[in-house]
Amino acid sequence: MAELRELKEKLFLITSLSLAALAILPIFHILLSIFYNGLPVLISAGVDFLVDSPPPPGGGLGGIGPSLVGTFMLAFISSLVGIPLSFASALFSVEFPDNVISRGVRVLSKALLQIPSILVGMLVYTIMVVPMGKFSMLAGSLALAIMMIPYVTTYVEEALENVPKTYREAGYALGLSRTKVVFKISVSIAKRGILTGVLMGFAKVTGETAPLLFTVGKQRQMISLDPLGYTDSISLLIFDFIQTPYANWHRVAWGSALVLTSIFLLIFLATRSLTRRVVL
Amino acid sequence: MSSMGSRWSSISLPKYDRGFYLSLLPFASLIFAIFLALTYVIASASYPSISKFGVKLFTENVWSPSEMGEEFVRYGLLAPLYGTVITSSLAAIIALPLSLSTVYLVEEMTNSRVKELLSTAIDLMAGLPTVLYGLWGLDVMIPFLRENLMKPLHSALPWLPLFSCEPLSGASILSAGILLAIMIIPFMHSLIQDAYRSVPWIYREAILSIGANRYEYYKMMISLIKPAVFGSLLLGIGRASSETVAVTLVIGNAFNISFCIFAPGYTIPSLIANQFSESNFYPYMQSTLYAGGLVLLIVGALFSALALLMMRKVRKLYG
Amino acid sequence: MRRVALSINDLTVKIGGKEILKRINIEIPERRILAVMGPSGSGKSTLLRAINRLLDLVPGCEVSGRVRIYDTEVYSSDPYKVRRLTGMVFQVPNPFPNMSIYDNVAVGPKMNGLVKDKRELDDLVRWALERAMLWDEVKDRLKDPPNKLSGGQQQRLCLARALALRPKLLLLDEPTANVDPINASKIEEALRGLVESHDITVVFVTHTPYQAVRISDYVAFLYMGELIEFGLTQEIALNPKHELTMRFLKGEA
Repeated sequence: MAELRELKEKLFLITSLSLAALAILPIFHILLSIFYNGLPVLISAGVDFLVDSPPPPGGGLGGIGPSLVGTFMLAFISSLVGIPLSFASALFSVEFPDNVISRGVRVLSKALLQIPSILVGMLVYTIMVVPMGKFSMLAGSLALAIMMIPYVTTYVEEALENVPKTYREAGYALGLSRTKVVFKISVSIAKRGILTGVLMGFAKVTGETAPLLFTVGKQRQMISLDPLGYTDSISLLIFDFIQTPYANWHRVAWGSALVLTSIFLLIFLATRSLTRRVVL
Repeated sequence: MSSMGSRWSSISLPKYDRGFYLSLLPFASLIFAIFLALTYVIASASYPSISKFGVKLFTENVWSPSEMGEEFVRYGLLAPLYGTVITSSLAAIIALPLSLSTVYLVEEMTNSRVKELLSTAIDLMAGLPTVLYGLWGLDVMIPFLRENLMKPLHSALPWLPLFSCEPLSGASILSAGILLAIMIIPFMHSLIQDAYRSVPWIYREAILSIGANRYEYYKMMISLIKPAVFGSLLLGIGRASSETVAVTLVIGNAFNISFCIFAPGYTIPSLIANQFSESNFYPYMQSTLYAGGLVLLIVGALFSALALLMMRKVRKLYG
Repeated sequence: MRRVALSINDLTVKIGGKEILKRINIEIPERRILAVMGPSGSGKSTLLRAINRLLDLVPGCEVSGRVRIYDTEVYSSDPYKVRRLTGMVFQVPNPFPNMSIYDNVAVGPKMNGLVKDKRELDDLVRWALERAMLWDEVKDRLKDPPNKLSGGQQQRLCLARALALRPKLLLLDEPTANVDPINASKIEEALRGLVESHDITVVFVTHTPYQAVRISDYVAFLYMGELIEFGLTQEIALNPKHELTMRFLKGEA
């Protein structure tokens, strides 16, 4: 009987180890595949890959310049809008926690986190693309900002809440006004956590695809900085190209995947150097 | 909420705080605005198709757009609804034991290098752009599954309804379920881990003091947080059901309802991804897609509410 | 001829580089009660956990020296096996909230294969609850969850849970610190009754001198990780050799 008990324990340990290994195997395989398939593409296309326009179906590698620029423009504009708004919401919710609106903000933030990203795209389509009569970088940025806000708000909230009360009390005791206490004390102590939240928000919007499907217009032939014009993103390009039968477009997709992965890994490493624990 | 945060009642706001309060208020209210806009737009855009097709919109599997006239148009979302339910449930069922294992290793293993590796891998999985999962799923995972799992299973057990159809491309319910499982593992891991960490130290000591070995210890710890584990299952299903691009690339996008998991299918998000762009040319199509979105929203909200109740049960026990 | 139940030789415990216990030497015969007393922070709880290797849970812990329970060398054996020789009651009552009163007591013996069938298990559960002076109060509601019990009753339930393992050594970490006086005296009575009629040895930790002296046969006085005095309670209570001991007994330390 004791042997059965020991056997169960051994089985448990082996199973746990195997299942955990199985759980993380895919991510390493994915990253390896992206490097394996994407690196040859980048090598043969060269630096021009980051600048040129995509090739016609069936010939050559061209580049993903317009989509790359689009990705950054979209991330930039949505951050411009989304980060201050997230910050303000988080600040409000932490400074006035018993307020009805605060409580609503917290509950809705968690709720919005669960909303399918495609519905956000549909929303922006209806309230912005249709009235404007066209797709636009702005519409895409709005959709991304909506995705970003609950995410970053949660991070910033947590960072601010973790500031020990004693620091704030010390600030008030010194006679500082509320604004000063909040900004000079709370925020500066929480700045690592806040920065992490900002970076995580940025990482999220560079990788999103669904909210952009019906908002930006998939213009990937010319580099454009026009907020009211059509644009594209690397993620959309990958999504479209991989569904076509053209071999060269598949290669472009893998090359773009490597570019996107590099951007992601860069931001990831940056957040790791700021904090040990990265929260979902 | 952390007990270390501020607890200033809004009743006793001194005068100079009111400016602070009022200046932040509009921004905070924006989240309300977004939420209201979302629910309003989706509900009102769904209305036309729901009122035209009634309940049949959700119980029939039919997709007949027509440019000729509204009388000839018929839509039924049963196939994508079915596909959403099956793939999400499959994903959560696969992800659960995997997440329980990763939590065990991260929380109880003594080797810190392995713990770091696991944590980092899980964080990477959490943040990786979903289109990359789809890309790998389509070009790498599907051929592998088709040759090494689906074809062998089909030839070995063709009489089993689950394996009865022949895998053609490999794009299928099964592929979608497996890919989704991989994608929601970090989410479920994080939920279970939070609940696990909330169990007070004295219970861990108590379990060990009665002579439990590692297996019995983990079993008892997990049963202490059982509602949270179930809640994470529900939230995992919710998370899987909202995934769009990765699923679209591996599910085959066919209006198909069958028991066979090697067959292609549809989910609501992938249906929307495929059909939305052209949908305003066809009467009632766009509204139907919105109706599908509405179902996602409502069911997702229900699942989240249920899961929240379960998480709260655990939080009340262990503070 | 009484055998030695617990033998601690030159036990030194360092946590994070800091010495928590310094060269502790204690030996007690079976079927006796040892009280380990001392002010807060003296290392008493650490000593207890060094005996049943719950100390292994603390990161950065270094243990040197020897601990022996009868013939088992604690630090050369599998910690999981050591814990089956001992039972422990903690400072804060911690019955498993997701199990009934019955199951709380039954889970240990069931898991360790101590009984053959349901009837033996029922008998064992009843025995443990009787020894813990709790049976009469719960016999009609064994299926109830433990949160329906008062704090003192929950602590007696934890005692029953520990006893159900039929341990050789019962360890208690300030068992009455969070319990009302009536329940406290019930627990003390239970401990005395146990060593008198059963094959068990008791070690309990306390920071109140009165309790230490009241029910123990041997007493050890710990101060800042050092064993200041150890011996028969009668001798030390009446005639403490060390000034610190005297001050503690008077309530001044």
